[in-house]
Amino acid sequence: MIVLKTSDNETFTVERDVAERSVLIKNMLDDIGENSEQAIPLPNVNSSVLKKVLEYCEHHRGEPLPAADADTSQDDTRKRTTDISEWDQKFITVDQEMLFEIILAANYLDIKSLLDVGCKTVANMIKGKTPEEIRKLFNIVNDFTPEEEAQIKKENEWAEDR
Amino acid sequence: MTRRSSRISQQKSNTARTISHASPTAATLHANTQPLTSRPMGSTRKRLRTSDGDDEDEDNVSEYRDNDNGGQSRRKKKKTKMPAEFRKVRGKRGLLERLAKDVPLDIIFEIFCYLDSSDLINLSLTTRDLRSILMSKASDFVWRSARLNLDDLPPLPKDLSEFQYADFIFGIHCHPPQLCSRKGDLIPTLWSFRTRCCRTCAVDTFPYFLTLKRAQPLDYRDANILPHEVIPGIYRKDRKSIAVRHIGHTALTQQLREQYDALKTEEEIDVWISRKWEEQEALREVRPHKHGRLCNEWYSNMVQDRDDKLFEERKDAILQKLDELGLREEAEIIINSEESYLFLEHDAVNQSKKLTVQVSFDPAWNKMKSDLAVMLSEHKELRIAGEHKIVAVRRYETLVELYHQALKDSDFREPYPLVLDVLTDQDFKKLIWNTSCYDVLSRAFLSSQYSQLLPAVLQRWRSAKILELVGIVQRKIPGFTSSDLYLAVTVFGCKGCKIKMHFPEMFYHECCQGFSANDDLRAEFFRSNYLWDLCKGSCNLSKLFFDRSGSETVKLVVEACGLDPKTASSQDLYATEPLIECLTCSGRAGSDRLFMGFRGVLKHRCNNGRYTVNSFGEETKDILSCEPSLHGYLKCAHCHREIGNKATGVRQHLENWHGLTFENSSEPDITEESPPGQTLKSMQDHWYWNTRECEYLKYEFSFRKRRGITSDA
Repeated sequence: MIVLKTSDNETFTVERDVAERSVLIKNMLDDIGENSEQAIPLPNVNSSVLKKVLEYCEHHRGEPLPAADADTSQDDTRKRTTDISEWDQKFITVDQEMLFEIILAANYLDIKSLLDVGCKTVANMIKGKTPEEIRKLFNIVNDFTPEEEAQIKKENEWAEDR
Repeated sequence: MTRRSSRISQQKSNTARTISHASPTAATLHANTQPLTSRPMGSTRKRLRTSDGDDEDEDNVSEYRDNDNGGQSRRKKKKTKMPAEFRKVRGKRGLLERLAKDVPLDIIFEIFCYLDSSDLINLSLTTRDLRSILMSKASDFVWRSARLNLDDLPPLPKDLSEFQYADFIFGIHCHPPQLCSRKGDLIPTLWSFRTRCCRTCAVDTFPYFLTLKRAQPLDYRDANILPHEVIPGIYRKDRKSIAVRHIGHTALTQQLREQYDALKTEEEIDVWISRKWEEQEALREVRPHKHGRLCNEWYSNMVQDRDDKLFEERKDAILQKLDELGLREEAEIIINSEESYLFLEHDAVNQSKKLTVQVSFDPAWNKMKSDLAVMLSEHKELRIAGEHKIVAVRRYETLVELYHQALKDSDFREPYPLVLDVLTDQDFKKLIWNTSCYDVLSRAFLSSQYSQLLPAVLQRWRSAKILELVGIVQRKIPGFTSSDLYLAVTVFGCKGCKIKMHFPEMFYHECCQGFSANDDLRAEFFRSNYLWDLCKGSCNLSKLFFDRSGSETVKLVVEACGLDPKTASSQDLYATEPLIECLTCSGRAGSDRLFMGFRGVLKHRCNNGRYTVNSFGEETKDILSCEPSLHGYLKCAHCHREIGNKATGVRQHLENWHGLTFENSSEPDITEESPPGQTLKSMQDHWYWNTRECEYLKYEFSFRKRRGITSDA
C-alpha cells in the first residue's frame, strides 16, 4: 500500500497499482524503493481533487498505461475525436472549478488518460459555440476594444500585392 | 506548476515543420496578420503571470518571457485603453480564462487540437489572451490539427496560412475594402481573389469581367491569365431575380498590366505570358477554381449537416420537455404522420439552434411551451375525434349489415323502425360513440350487442310511434285507442302524396321518412355516411292525418265482403281477397276496365271513384287471370319469409317448410293457380301482408282487363 499526502495534509492509502496510474508517482516510487513507508507528498493536489483522481485510477486500474512515445508513434494527420466513455463522462461531470483542478492534477501527476478526458470535456464545452456563448459559458469578459475588433475583421484581407 | 510532457513535446517539432513548409507568400501574409499580442514559438510556460484582479496591467501590457533567454526578452505593446464597460469583470474567472492564464500552453494546445477550425475562429474572437495564443506561429499546428478534424475538407492551398484558410471558410465578416462588416448575406468566398464579402460589396467593388478584359491588351486578354469570379444569381419568386455576374479584380489585373507594360520585346512578352500562364497553372495545381468550388460546396454541406444536427438536437430537447408535459406522444404521432409539418415546421421547433432551457425561469421556453401545448392539444382532440369517426363508420357499417340481415326475418305486422331509428337510439349511440375508439368491437360482439339491445329499442320506438298515431286519429275520433289501429276502417292519408294507407304501412311510406331538425349531429354524421342506403332518414309521421272519406270507402268494401266494420281488421279484409272495379275509370270511353284488390282501393287515385265489389259472376275467373303475380307480397307468419301473393305459393311454403296441412276448402276454385278449393282466407293465420316491401316497391295493386277479352281467348 502507498500513502499519499495532499497539500492540505490529508493522507490517502492506496494500492500500488492504483497509485502507479500516475507516471509521477510511479517514478517517485521507483526512486525511493519499494520498502519505504514514507508518505509521498503531493503539494499541488488537495484532498478533494486527489479523492476524485484516485476514483478514476481505481476504476481504470489494470488497464495498460500508454507508452511514453505514444504520440510520436501516431500519425499527426489523424482526426481527433472527443468521444468519452460512459463512465468517464459521468465521472467528469463536475463543476468547472473541479474540472480545472482535475486537469491540473492530471497534468501534474502525469495521468495521460485522465488529462485526455479533461481536455476532451473542455473541447466539447467549446464546440459549436459562438464567441459570445463561449464567453458566457466560461464567464470571461470581452476585452477587445472596438478598434481591435475592426482590426480583427481586417486581418484576413488578402494582400493586394499578390 | 510548470510541465511539459514528453508526448506533447513532439508538437514542437510538428509546429516547426508546419512553419517551414509554409509558402513564401503565406509567410509574408502571416507577417502582415500579426496577432494583437505575440509570443515566441515553441515556448512552454512563457507567459508572465499577472495577479488575479490586476486588470489594468493586463489591459495595457502583454508580456511574455522566454525561458531560453532567462526572461530577458520582453515585448510590450501599447494598447488602447479598454472602455469601462468592457473592463467590468463578472465575478470569478471562468475555466477557460484560468486555463488560458494559469495552465501550461501545451495543455491549452491539447484541448484546442480536439476542436475544428470554426471553433478556433470563434475562440480567437473571445479574448485577447486566447487570440494571442491562437494567432501565434506556435499555434500553426493547432490550426492544422483543427483542419484535419474536418472530414473531407479540400487541402490547404499553398499560398494561404492555416488561419487564413480557416477564416475564408468559416469567417462571417465582410472583408474590406469597404469594411462594411456586414454579417450574413455573404456570397461564397471569392477564392481567386482571395477575399470574402457580402453581395453588395462584391457588386460595388468588382467590375464586370468582360469590361475589364476588353480593356486589356490583345496580347494576353484571351490568354486565360486574368483572375475571374462569379457572383451567383438569386431566383426570387415574387420579385425580380438577380442574375449571375462575372467579375474581375481591378488591382490584380492592373498588376498584370504594369508588369506587361514594363516588357520591351515580344520575346519578353511571350515569356511573361507563358510564365503567368504557368502561374495560373500552378494555381490550378492547387486548383483555385475547382478548389474554391469544392470549398464552397464543402462549407455549404457542412452548414446543412450542422443545421440538421442542431435541428435534430433541438427537436429531441423539445420532445423531452414535452414528455414532462405528457404531450410527447402526440408530437411523435404528428411527426410520423403526413401532417409532420405541423410540428417540424412549427416556429418553436424549426430552428437550427439548441434549445436553451433555464432551470428556474425561462420565459422563452414558457412561450414555446404554451404555443406547442395549444397546437398539440388541439391536434390531439381533432385526431381522436377523427379516429373515433373512422371507428364509428366501421361500427355503423357492421351494425347496418346486422340490421339488414335481421330485417329479412323480421315481423312486419307491427311497426318496424328504420335503420336510422335503430342506430340513433340512445343505447346504440352509446355503443358506437361512448366505447373507446381504441377498443376493437368484433362483428360477433356487435351482433351479440345488437340482439341484446334491439328488443328494448323496438319497444321504446313502437310505443312512441303508436302513441303518436293514436293522437292523430284522436283529433277526429276521441276515444280512439291503439287497438283500433288494426281495424280495416282506420285509414290514414298522406298530406304529401294523397295516398291512403292502413297501419302499419305509414312506417315504410316514403313521405314519412326524412331528417328532422331534431336529429342530432350523430344522425347527420350517419346520414352523410349512409345516404346510399335505402334509409332516407328516421320515421316522421307529421304528414299523416286520419282520412275519413277513405275510411268510409273501405267501410263499404268491408261490408260488401260480409265483414263487420267495427271488428274486421285489415288482415281480415285482405284475406277475403275482394275483387273491385272502379266504375269511374272503367266507364271512360275507349279505356280498359280497371280492377283491383282491396289494397288497390287505398292506392287508387280517382276523383269521385265509384266501385263495385265481388259482383262479377262468371267473369271473375277471366278478370283474375289478368292480375299480375307479385313477389314479396305476403310473408309467412311463422318464419317471416316472403311467400308471394297467391294461395298456391303460400300453401306450398307452409307444407314444405312448416309441415302444415290444409283441408280443401268448400269454396269453389276461383283461379287455376289455386289448389282445389284453397284460398288465402283458409290460411289466414299463417301469413300476413308485407307492408314494408309493398311500400318500397310501390305496387299499384290494380290491373286492367281489355273489354271483350276472355281468358279462353
